[in-house]
Amino acid sequence: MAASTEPLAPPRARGFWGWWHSPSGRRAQFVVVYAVILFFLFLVLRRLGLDTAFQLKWLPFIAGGIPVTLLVCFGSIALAVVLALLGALGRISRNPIFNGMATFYVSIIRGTPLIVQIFFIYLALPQIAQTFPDRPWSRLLILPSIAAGILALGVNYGAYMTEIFRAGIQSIPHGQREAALALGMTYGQMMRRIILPQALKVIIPPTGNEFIAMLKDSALVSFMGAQEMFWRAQKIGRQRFRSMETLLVAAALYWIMTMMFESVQRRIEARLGRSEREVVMH
Amino acid sequence: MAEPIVSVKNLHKWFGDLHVLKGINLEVQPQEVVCIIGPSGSGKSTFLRCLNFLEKPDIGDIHIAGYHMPAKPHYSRKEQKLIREIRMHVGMVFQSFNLFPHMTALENVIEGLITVKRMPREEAVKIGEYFLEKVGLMDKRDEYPNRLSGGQQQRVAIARALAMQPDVMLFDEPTSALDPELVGEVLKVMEELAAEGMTMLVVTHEMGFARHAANRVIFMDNGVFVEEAPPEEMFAHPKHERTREFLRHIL
Repeated sequence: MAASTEPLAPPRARGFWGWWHSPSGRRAQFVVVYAVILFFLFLVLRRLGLDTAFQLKWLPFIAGGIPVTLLVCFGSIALAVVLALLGALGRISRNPIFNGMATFYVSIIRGTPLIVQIFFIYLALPQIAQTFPDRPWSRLLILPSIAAGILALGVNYGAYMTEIFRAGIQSIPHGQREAALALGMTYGQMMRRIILPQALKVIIPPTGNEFIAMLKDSALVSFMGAQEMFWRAQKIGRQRFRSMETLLVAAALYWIMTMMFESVQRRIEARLGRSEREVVMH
Repeated sequence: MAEPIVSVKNLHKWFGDLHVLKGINLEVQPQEVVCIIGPSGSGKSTFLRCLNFLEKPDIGDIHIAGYHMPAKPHYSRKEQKLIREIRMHVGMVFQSFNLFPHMTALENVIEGLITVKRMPREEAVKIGEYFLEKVGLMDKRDEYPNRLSGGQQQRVAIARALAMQPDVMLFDEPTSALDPELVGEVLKVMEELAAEGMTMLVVTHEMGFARHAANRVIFMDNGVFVEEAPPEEMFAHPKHERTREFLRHIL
């Protein structure tokens, strides 16, 4: 019956294998796996006989396109967020005009390839402008390449993000709506003060994913002449007949950018998750 | 007899084919406390929610807090504005509290004053603190709802409704979602409110509250008001068999 005077504790793992299975050991396992995969990738790439000196020489030039890439992406995501919010409100609305427009927008943009939309904005808009030669606003349709790129990407991602926003808004419990209305709020007040602030927490993580995807899709706006990173890689690659080298450099840079934004997003999600994991008393 | 503050005539409501409210008539005098009891599915909550038009009735007439709004299939913009005005004068407390989780207790209480009544913030805070004090939760004014117990959340919800200084308060099963130990603190607030003369319509299963605080108890079943009587009479000498059967299970 006499209890041991030593407090019980879980047995501590010892030795190399003890550490190997601990949390820090598991992180090391991960690094090892990554290193092995990268090594094999390296072996494969070596077989291509790439001119690595060339790659290193032009790396700064290619990386110099990153600011333009980021400009296009930030501009596009801002436009996409605005369109997604309007689209979501339209999809939820009982007004047939708003609902119809929003549903059509989502359907046609999600139903056609991004590259087609890009070429359309690049080629078709100026052509349409030409059919209205004496109207002053027709000049607006002839956009500089970066603006056209932002327009195309923003409109495209806005359609996909509409569903994210709609789901986020509809995930807010119905009782919130009722409490707001019971106080005498209008629809607009309810949305602005009660629903959207709560929906934002739900919407931000998937929006982060969209941004990370957009980083790569931004390469397509190079076909409009926007001189972002991919455009630079293509230019040098074609000039010197070393496209494989430069495209791989671009790919590596996209990968690094993606990993950086992923870590930013992890931090944002952790901050959002923490405020909800407060102690709940009952 | 004074002018009734709530007057409902021939209220009908359907959910699809289901006839949920079958010709309800009700008059409530100012400062009266009316409890509505009955089995689930009887339409008690639906009826309450029609009074502030969270549910739109199909047939009937509602006079409440000096306003009149008949049942209509579609409400014009002007009528929607009137409904919002009605809601400013009719407070509602929900079974699931429905506090705004992204705001503190005080912010919850003053939200209606600032956004709907467009009151300047200092004035709203004074009123909000008064009502938080009234429900005994001034010390929790800067806490977020997820750090409050159920009973505390419901009391904040009551303060939030009271801050709008309504003429009528509607309670939709205010204690049904609470752990038994927490029910008492909410009922205490409600009893005080009744004693101070607030007109209250309460859908509840708490017969103790009905006995202490209600002027009138209404038994509702299957979309109709079966029986109405002061609590002592209702509980001691129920006239209808359905009432007797229900009370047998509850008491």
